[in-house]
Amino acid sequence: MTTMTADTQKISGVWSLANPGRFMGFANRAVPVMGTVAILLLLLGLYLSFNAPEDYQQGYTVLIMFIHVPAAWLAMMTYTIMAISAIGTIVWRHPMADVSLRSAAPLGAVFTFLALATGSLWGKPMWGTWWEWDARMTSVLILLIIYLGLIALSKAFEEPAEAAQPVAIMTLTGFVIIPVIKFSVDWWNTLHQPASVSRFDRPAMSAEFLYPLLVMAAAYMAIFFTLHIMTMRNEVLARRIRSIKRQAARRNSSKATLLHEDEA
Amino acid sequence: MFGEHAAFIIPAYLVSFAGLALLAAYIILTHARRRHELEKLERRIRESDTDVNRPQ
Repeated sequence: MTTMTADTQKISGVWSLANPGRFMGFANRAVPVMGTVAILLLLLGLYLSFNAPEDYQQGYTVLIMFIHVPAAWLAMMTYTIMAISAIGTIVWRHPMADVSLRSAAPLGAVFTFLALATGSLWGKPMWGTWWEWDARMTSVLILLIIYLGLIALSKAFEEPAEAAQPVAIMTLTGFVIIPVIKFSVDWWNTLHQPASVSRFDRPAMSAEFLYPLLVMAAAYMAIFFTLHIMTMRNEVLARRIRSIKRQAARRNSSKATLLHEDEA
Repeated sequence: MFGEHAAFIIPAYLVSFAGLALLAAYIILTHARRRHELEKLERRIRESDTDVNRPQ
């Protein structure tokens, strides 16, 4: 008889969420709490943002930074989570890793779209243009196209199990765009300004703008994790429904075969 | 209130919150629909199992 050591119990405690049934129980308990935290952080972030002073160059237009930058960060963070899930699919072939990947893709696409849309609305008054084929903007647009491509690829297969490996491989291939986006402002001297927060030395932004930005980023992250767990829950339900329908179809088909044999 | 560029600031916030709200609403409605469908399927299976087990 095997006995579980303390390490094995701890590992299995974390890995137990990889079981769809246990995950659903965790999700049903976690979603209300995480949703509440997300809303509170968002309200705090909005309060701090709207009480931040005008920027000496941009005036009130700096307010757009507090929704544009978090959306852009989440666009990249979501893809990174998808890439980690893709590794889980390919290396461990775990169905929950595929569930995580498929669930995150639409969320990442929405955050990327919001980053582009708010960026355009910020760019027009500041740069005098809605769009430029600048390195940062073009690479984020490519990221949006990659997201849409992955969503389309995952829907091209009838069975999720068939789609898992191709989607995971394409996700990992597309991950090259993330460092390109991050370092585009350093590698190419184009329109978009360089990093002000995520630098190796200290942030080049005063505290009165930095703190509201960080709180809004935390709010967006909380929103993402809440929606991600909710979407994963929906995906698990969809697979359960598919499985039950398949079993029912098999049962009906074997009943029909038996009836046919009786008549013969 | 937001200076001369209010026409850009307000739509930026509206687009962001509308986008996130629509996304959340879609996810919540999908969850309700699938839970309802799953409950219907499970009820149908229980009823068909009861019919099979009923003495003839």
